[in-house]
Amino acid sequence: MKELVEYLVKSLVDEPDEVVINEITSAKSLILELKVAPDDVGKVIGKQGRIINAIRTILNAATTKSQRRVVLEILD
Amino acid sequence: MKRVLEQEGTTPEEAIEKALERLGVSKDKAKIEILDEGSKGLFGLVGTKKAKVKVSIEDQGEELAQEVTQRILDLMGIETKVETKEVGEKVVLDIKGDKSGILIGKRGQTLNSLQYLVNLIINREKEEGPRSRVMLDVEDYRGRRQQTLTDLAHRLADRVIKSGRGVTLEPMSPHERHIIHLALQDYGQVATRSVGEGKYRKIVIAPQREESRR
Repeated sequence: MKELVEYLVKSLVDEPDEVVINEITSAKSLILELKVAPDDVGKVIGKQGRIINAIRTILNAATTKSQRRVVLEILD
Repeated sequence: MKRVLEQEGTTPEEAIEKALERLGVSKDKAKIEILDEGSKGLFGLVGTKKAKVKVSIEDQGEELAQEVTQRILDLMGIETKVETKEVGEKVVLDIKGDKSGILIGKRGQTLNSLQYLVNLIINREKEEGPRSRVMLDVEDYRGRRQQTLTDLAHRLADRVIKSGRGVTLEPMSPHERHIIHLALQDYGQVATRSVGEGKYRKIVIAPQREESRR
């Protein structure tokens, strides 16, 4: 799932090299911590969180079969 | 989106071929300019000069969209094939494969999110010219949804006419509201309008009398 988020986020930002994603796996959940360049934060979140929520929706659809819940967070 | 590439080669033909290969397009889709014919020199030994060409392509929005969509679906682990259809002036990407239910999501939520992201990505680097807009569809979901909404609109309009009281629908996307407005535009006895802001915008179907009294 990291690759999926990575592809989406890198396609949206101006500085793809600054994109860092940390995976934290536990029994019940997979947490993806996303870090992007300060100027790119808005491009990932979108107005009223529209972009990040769309990414979360895609992520949830991709993991419906999995036992782990996926959480995507933006670090700043 | 425009991509330009300058390429050298022993002959202009070779340079063009190399450039097309690097861009991954066929000759008929590219604009080719020969910057330097090059020279074989004397007996191919003295004074050879490489040929230089400039190849530019106007990236077709739909091709890029298809590529991006396919990539996302692959990464989601959903086995599908994306086909491009042109419906009137609209470009529709038809997603074929299993797990269509997952892809559509609750009330098309997943499909709409995917469509939103694909459009964002394909228009990101575009600074001039019209933005491309593509629609994503799975197993004619859009067509079926249009039928459902049209039927719903007709049913509710009949109820409004009978009862003389207006009804408010649940919030819908601009595209879905458009379908409802269209479905009822020839219904003389009712009028439709949208109320609310942003994603809470919804349609009110009201009796025409009530409308005109205001």
